[in-house]
Amino acid sequence: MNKGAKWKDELPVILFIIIFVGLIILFSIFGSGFLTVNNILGILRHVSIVAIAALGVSFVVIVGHTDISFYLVACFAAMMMGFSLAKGLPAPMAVFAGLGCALAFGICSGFAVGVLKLPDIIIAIAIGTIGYGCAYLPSGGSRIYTNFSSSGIGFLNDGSILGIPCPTFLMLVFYIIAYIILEHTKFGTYFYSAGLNKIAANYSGIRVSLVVLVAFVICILLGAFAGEINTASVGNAEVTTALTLLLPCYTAVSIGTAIFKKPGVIGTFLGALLLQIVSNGFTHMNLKYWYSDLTTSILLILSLPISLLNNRKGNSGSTVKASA
Amino acid sequence: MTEWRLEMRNINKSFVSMQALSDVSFLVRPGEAHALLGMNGAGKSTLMKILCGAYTKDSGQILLDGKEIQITCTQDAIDHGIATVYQHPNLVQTFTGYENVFLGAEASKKHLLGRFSRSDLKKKAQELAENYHMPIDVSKSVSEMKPVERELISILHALSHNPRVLILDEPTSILTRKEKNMLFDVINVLKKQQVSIIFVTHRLDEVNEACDELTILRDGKNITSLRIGSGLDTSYIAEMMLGKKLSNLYPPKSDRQDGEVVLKADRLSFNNRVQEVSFEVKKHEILGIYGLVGAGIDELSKLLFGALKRTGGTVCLNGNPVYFRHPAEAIRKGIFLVPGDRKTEGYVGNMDIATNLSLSKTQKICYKALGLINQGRKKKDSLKLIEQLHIATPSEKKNVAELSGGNQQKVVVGKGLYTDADVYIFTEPTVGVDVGARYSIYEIMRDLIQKEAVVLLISSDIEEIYGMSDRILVLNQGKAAFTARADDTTINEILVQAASNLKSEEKGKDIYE
Ligand SMILES: Nc1ncnc2c1ncn2[C@@H]1O[C@H](COP(=O)(O)OP(=O)(O)OP(=O)(O)O)[C@@H](O)[C@H]1O
Ligand SMILES: [Mg+2]
Repeated sequence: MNKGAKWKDELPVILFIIIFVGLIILFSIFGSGFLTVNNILGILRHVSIVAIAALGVSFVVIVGHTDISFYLVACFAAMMMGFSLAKGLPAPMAVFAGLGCALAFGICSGFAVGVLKLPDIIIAIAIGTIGYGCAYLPSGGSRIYTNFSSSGIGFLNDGSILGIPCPTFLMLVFYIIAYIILEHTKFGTYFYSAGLNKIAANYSGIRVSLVVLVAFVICILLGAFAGEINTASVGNAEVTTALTLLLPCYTAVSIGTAIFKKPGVIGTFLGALLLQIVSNGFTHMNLKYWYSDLTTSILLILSLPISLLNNRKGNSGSTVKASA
Repeated sequence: MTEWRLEMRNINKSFVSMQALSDVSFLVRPGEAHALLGMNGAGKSTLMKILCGAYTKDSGQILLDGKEIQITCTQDAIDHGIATVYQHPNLVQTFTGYENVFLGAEASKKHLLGRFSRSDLKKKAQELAENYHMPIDVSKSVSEMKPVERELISILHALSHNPRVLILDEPTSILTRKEKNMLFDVINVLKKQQVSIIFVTHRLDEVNEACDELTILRDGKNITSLRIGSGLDTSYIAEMMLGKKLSNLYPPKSDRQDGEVVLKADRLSFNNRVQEVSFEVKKHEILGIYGLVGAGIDELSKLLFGALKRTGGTVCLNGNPVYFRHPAEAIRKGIFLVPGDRKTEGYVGNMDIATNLSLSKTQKICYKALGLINQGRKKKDSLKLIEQLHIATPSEKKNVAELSGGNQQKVVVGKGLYTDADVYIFTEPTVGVDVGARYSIYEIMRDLIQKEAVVLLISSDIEEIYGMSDRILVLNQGKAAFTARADDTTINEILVQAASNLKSEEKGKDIYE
C-alpha cells in the first residue's frame, strides 16, 4: 500500500518521461535528421528564448500571481532597442535602453499588484495594451533596419561565449542564478511563501508587497531580454517580435509545476525543452507550425489539472484577502 | 439489528512515510455520544476522514447498522447519513451563511431542477438554526462572520443532511462557554433522535459533560474503550493517552516580580474596536489578556505587532517609543506574535516544517553573504525545535499541511520561539494541542520569562489564563475593563468583568455560572 501511494505521487514524473521519450522516438522514426548532433544543438539554442522568458514567468507564478502583459512589453523593449541602434547607440547600450523601458513597466505593474493589491489580470490587460501601443511609437509600426546589422547586435544571437552559443550561454547563466536564489537563499523562501500564504508570510516578517513587486520586475526584464534576443536573430526590429511568447511560456511553467508539484527553475526548463522538441520535431516531419501550437495548447491544458491536484493539500492564502 | 450503529473494524491506513492507523476498531451505539481521544498525531482525524470519505482506507471494514458499506468519496458518506464538521472547516468566504449551509445540496439529484429558490434556502437555514436554538444570522456573508459563527454554520451544514452519524472534529476549540453549552444542547437533542455522535477533542472536562463512552488511540492503535459512568478519572485518561504519568496541568509560577517595565501601551486605540487601552508588562512576568469575542483582543495583539496600524496612543518598548509599519519591523525590534488563526495567519502550508520554523528569522540560518542558506544549520535548528515541542513527524522535511492539527499548532509556536524575541504575544497557543505537549508549551513560556523575555498570553480558555498569568488584563468592548494580579482575583471575577458592560439584552441571556 505504501508503494501504491508512492506510485501515485510520482505519476506526473512518469507521465512526463513517457511523453518526452515517446516524442523523441516518434520524431526519430518519422522525421528525417531529428536525432543528429547538429539538430540537438539547434534545439538547445532555440529553446533559450522561450526558456528565458518562461523563467521570468515562473517568478510571478511562484508568488501566486499571473502576468499576461510581459510579452507585449517585450515587443516595446525590442523596438526601443532597434530605435536606439538606429540613433547610433552602441549595441550594449541599446540592449539596456530596451531593458530600462521594460523596467519602468515592471515597476508599474508590480506596484499596482503588490502594493496596491489590484487584480493582476486586469492590470496586465491595461499595462500590456500600453506596452504594445508604445511599441509603435519609435517607428510608427514599421520595421527598423537602420544600423542594425552594422551595430554588432547580431552577436546576441549568433555569437558564442566559451564555445557555447550566446543565447544558450545566457540562458544557462540565468537559470543557474535563479536556481541558487530560489533553492538556496532566503529570498527564494520569501518568493515561495508569498505565493503560498500571503498573510502568514506577512506575519512572519516578510514584506510580501515588495516580494511581489520584485517578481513582476524580474518577469518583465527576462521577457524583454528574450524579446531582444529574438529581434537580434531576425535581423531587424519588428513590432510583433515577442507576440508568440505567451503560450509557450505559460505552458512551460505549467508543465514544470505539474512535474515537481510546485513552480520552479528545473521544471520550467524541462517544460520549455519539451515544447522546443515538439516544434522542432514537427518541422522535421514537415508539419505546419499551427500543429505545434495546437500541441502546446493541449499540453498546457493537460498539465493544469495535474499541477492543481497537487496543490490542493495546502492552505493557499493567495485567495484570502491580505490584511496587512 | 445489531447493538451497533457504526462499526469500524481493523482499519489500516498508511501515508508515504508512516503507518497512521494499524488495526483500529471503533464501535458506536445509536443515540450515544462517543468521545475519540488521543495525543496529537494519534490518528483521530485520519480515522474520521476515512469514515467521511476524505481518505480511503488501505484495509478494514465499515459497517453501518450491521450492513457493510463502501465509502470511496465524501458523497458516499453523506448518502449513508454520515455528516462531518471538520477540524478546519472550509467555507466559501464570499457566500452567505445559508448558502454555505446548503452548499453541495444543489448538486444532489433531488434538487437538480432547482426546486429551492434563494429565499427558500434562507428560510430553511433559519428554521434549522431555530430548531437547534442557534442564535445566528444566516444571511451574513461568511467573510464577515466571527470564527464562532463560522463554526456554527459548518455544524448547520452537517445537520442539513439529517445525519445518522455526526462527526465533530475538535468543534469546541474556539467556542466560549456559552457557545459550548449551546452545542451540548444540540448534541442532547440529536441523541434523543437516535443520532450517534462522534466527538473528537482534547478537553477532558467536555468529555465528562457530553459523552457516554470513549475510545482512546495512541500511535495509530486502539488503547482502550470504556463507558463514562458517573465521573471520569481524568488523570487516568490522560495517562492512557500519553502512555505515561502526567504531572500538573500548569507549571508553578515564579515569585520574581521585581522587573522593570518592558512593554508599555498608553491609550492605544484602533478605530472604535480598541479604545484607549493602557497597560504595562514587567520583566519576568506573563500578562494574560482575556475578553469575549469582539472585545478587541485580536486587534490589540496585531496593533502591538504592526499588522494593524494604530489610530491613537503610544507604545514603548524598553522605554523607547516604537511604531511599526510592518511586522518585519516589530520582529527586528524583538516582538513576535503567534497569531490565533493558524491556518491563514500562522503557517505556510505546502512548505516543509524546517522552512516554516525558520521563516521569521531567516538570517539565523543564513551565511552572512548573499543570503545563502546554511542547510545544515537549518536542519539542526529545526530538529531541536521539533524535539522541544514534541512535534510528531517522521522528518523535518514534511509538509506542514500534512501534519495533524495539534502538530501544526506546535510548528506555529516553534516559529515564534525561533525569533528569540523580547516580547512574545501568544494567541491561543494551545488550541488543539494535547495535554502532554500543552504542559511543555507552558513550561517553555515560564522558561522564557525566567530569561529576558516577557509574555503576553491571549486565550479564550479562562483556566489557561488564570493558571498561567502573573497579571491579568480584561478587555470589554474594546476598553480595558480590569487589571489585577492573578493571586488577587478569581476566575469568577474575571468572567464577570469580561461580560459586565454588555448591552442589556445580551446580558439577560448570559450563562456564565
Ligand atoms: N495527508 C497526509 N499525508 C501524510 N501524513 C499525514 C496526512 N494526514 C495525516 N498524516 C499523518 O498521520 C498522523 C495522524 O494524523 P491525524 O491528523 O489523524 O492526528 P490527530 O489524532 O487528529 O491529531 P490532532 O489532535 O493533532 O489533530 C500524523 O502523524 C500525520 O502527520
Ligand atoms: Mg486532528
